[in-house]
Amino acid sequence: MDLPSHAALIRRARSGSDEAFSRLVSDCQQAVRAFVRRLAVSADDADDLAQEAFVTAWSKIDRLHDGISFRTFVCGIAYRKALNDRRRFNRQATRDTQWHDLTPQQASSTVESRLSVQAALSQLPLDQRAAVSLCVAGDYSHAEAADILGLPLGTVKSHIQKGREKLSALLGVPS
Amino acid sequence: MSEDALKALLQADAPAFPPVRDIGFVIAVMEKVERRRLFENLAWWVCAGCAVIVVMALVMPFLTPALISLGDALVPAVVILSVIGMVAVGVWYLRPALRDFGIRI
Repeated sequence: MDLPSHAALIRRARSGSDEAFSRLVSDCQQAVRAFVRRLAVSADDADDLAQEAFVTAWSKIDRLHDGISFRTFVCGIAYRKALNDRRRFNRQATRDTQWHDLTPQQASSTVESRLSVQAALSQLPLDQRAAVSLCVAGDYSHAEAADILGLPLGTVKSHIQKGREKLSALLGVPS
Repeated sequence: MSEDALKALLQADAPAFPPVRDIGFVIAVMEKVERRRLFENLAWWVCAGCAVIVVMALVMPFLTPALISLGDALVPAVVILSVIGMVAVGVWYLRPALRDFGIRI
């Protein structure tokens, strides 16, 4: 990611440039959506949540401090939205599990693998899932994850450790 | 499972990764941004309009008698100024025609 270029884009977006903001969205959408898709069960709901997070970032871009990347800022907003929507996500997870139990399992190995990874992730508490998604599945540093989740660094490391242990157990792969 | 193996397993979850460039997503975000901007502007103008209405409702009962008496006193001046203004505008637009008669203004 080209940080100086992003800093310039953020300055322009703060002064009201839609073109600069849309370039920021374009550059960061993959990282933000990948993070949110691991928090939500449905990719469509995750994309809606990611879009809302970008819109909130647009309206609060003045609060983005120097030294914090745009994707970290948006991921933090998305995480807080996901926390607020936890009840809705839980309902969807229940529906998804019921659907999964009712559906004959004859998918390809790739799909089976995806379902098992998604199912295993959905077993983790949201904060552990978020920490694992950022630092294990993603390329975020522990400090960035602490900024995004609004938690102390030690707590983030603990979430990652616990989440990794639970995931290993759930996926049934020996340590 | 080592962290690298777990990382590889999570990163192999290809459907979790959206495309690097997705113009449809960017357009959807900018559409929502425009909608938010419209609602914010609308809310601002509605609030400003309500504030003006409230202020006028509070002030006008006291201002109206004064404006009426002032208006009565100003009627001749307003009529004179209106006539002068209309003549000035007419002359301004008639300048090209007047130039043909040798009158330069």
